[in-house]
Amino acid sequence: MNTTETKTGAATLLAASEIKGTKVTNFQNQEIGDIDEVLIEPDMGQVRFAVLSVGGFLGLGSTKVAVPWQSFQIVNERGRMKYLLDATKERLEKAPRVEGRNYERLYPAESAEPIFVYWDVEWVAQPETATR
Amino acid sequence: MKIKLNAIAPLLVIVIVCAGQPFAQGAKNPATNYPALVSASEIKGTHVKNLQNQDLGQIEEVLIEPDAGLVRFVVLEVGGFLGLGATKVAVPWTAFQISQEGKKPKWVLEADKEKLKNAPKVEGKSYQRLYSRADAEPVFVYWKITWIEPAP
Repeated sequence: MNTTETKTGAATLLAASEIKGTKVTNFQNQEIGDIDEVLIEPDMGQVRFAVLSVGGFLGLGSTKVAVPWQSFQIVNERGRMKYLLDATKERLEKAPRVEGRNYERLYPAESAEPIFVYWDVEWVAQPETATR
Repeated sequence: MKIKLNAIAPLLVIVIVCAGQPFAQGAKNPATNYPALVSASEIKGTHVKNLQNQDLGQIEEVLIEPDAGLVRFVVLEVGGFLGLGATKVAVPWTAFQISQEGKKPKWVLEADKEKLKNAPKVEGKSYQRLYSRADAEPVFVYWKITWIEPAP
């Protein structure tokens, strides 16, 4: 698999409708925002991105970034899921943004792959996606 | 030796036929041809039809295996379809054919009344139960989808 992947301790299936609005904190225990959307690749049902709504975190304006699912560490804290992301202010500031809700843009490999590169997650192309 | 071979031959044929099935491990669902990412929040409430264009019900929840980030199940709320009471079934993601209709995804599941009636049910919101392989794999078997063990 990829080098940065961290095994989550969730030990349960996650209900997509409950992920929206979940707070995300960084490794310094700062709250960096919440999850706005989960984007799924239709062929295999692979979750590609979580769209993170970065609140006023450390003076950044309200902004949305797409982060590969594998970048998150999910910890099960007595039944409640805690989402951790290795992201300082610097890293979030420079992260690829998402404008509006035009998530279609994130589907082709040429738009998606740079985001994986940015977050140090190995890009795994779906067999047919790249050629479409 | 000859007898043994004769006994094995049909099995070999089955293995070869199965290997050519569209839902072999790692294969893309060939019936799915939706050229965009699907927003999880927009899936809930989506109506699912069968190949006979009958409305089977609507999607109630999407269940994600956290380590691999793979959607394991779609929970389908079967309405009063063909006289079945309101009931919820878990169906593997790759059992659905997703195509484009206008700007929206169209969801199709190959299922008649019988198939839905006998399908593994989901009670309440106890989705944790579907996490363990012991509970999840039979659902995959029922829908004829190859079980993919999440990476350790």
